[in-house]
Amino acid sequence: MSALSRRDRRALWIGALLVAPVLAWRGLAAPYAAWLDVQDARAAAAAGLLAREQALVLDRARLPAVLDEARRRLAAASPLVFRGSDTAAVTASLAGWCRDAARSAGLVDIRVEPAAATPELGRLLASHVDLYARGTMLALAAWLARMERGDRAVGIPRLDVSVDDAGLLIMHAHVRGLGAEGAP
Amino acid sequence: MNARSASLSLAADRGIAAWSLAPGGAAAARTAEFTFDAAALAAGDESVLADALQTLWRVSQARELHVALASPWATPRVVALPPLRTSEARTVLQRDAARHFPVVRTEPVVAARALPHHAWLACDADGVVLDAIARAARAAGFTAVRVVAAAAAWAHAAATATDRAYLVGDEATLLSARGGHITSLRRCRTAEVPRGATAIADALGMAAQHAPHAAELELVSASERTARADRARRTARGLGLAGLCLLAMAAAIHARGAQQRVARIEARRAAMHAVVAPLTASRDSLTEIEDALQAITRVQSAPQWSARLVALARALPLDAYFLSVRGDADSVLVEGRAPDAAIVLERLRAAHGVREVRALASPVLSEGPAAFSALVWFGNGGTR
Repeated sequence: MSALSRRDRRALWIGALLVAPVLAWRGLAAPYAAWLDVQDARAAAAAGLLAREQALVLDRARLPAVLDEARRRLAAASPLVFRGSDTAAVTASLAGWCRDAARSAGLVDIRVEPAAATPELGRLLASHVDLYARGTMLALAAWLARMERGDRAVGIPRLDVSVDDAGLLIMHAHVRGLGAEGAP
Repeated sequence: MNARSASLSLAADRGIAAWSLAPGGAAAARTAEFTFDAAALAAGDESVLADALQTLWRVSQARELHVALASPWATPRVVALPPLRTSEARTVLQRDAARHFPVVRTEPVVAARALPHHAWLACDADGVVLDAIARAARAAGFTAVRVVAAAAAWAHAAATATDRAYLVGDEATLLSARGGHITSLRRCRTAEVPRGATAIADALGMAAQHAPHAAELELVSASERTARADRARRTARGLGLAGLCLLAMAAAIHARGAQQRVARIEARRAAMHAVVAPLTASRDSLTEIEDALQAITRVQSAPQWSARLVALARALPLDAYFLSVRGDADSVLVEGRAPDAAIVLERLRAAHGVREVRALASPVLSEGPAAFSALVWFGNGGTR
């Protein structure tokens, strides 16, 4: 240092004064602020969980009754759901039910093509089938009425109907039904 | 002894020591006059003040000694300088002291303060004398020494006044002051004091008594200035380090507080765990059941095609018919034939549950009724 001129020493000092805050920020302040943010987030998450748990404890007297009521409603809705030992069996059950409904409604040339099932909330499966058939307007109406009666958890998100040369209706319905694996 | 201040004023060959028993306590002030060898002091012999200062320290037990230097030890005067900073003016005056001051000093020491109109109130002294006074004071027991020009002490005594003549020997210092600060100053012989001026004969004693309160013209020798700068640097460094330590401590305390906050919440959750665990399981079961019931409701709320088809069929005029119906969640594309497609569209718009109908481009058929094509939106999705 003694070999450096006064001007050089001043330049070094100014450089150090400029660099030191940056290093202090990058090396100390920023990591500390980030750590504090993490702690705040942890505290907020823990406080949220604590509040929910306290609310749960306050509500504990009512919970069994609410749970029993929900179980009763689920038991009542259980016959609506298609059952099967696995996903394929659930879809097959839906496909069979749709086919039977179409046949009993009077539709002909029935073809059912299963599609992939997707998981639903509440441990349920959403099974999909595409049903192709031909028939009269009355048969179509009977089939739709059977599907919409509400005794099974099914819906028709998409329906195409057209008329063939013989005057019969050609129908393609995409049917969605809820199922569950295992015994009812 | 409960004395709080000790001060001294020095003239050509005599001095006055003053001390008080309480800060600023004029009633308790005491003074004592003494003589000393001026030539020896000018040569830097501090022993000439030893007796007086030891006595003063004994009676006062004060930490700091205030010294007011009258002529010839200090020579105040007003000089003209271009606009400068105070430190620059002091350097200029110190470098050319022989030009600006009447007495030649061995080690010139200058104090300066700017006055209006490029005038500077300046005062010189000899560093040799200042160092001798400092040595004598420290030898007597004082830990700090502050030396000012006697004129500054007189300005404090005058507070706000004009044309006060302070007489020391055959010399008079004629000054005006405002708020304890000198506004104008002139030195002259005692015989030349203007008739209208207020002459103060006991000027040396007054300087001794007011030296602790003098607000300007402090005379600081080079060695003392260096020592002060060193002390200031040490203090600044210490304060900086203390600031960093405090910052680190604050950060650590804050961090500890943040950790403890999380720990407290976790501890409360842990204390509740035995009660909450079965409740959480029950709630999860409830949530699962409600999700399943909602999913069933959602599936069953898919479009009700029976109602839609009936609504479309009822809207169709007797002489029109559909060729195809294609629908999804909330809309149906219908294609058909009718003698007048406009009537079909009009009636479709009026059909039950229909929100909007938009006609689409239809093929032009060579024979039979005209073809039509329309997109029909159902207001509530056609659900039950």
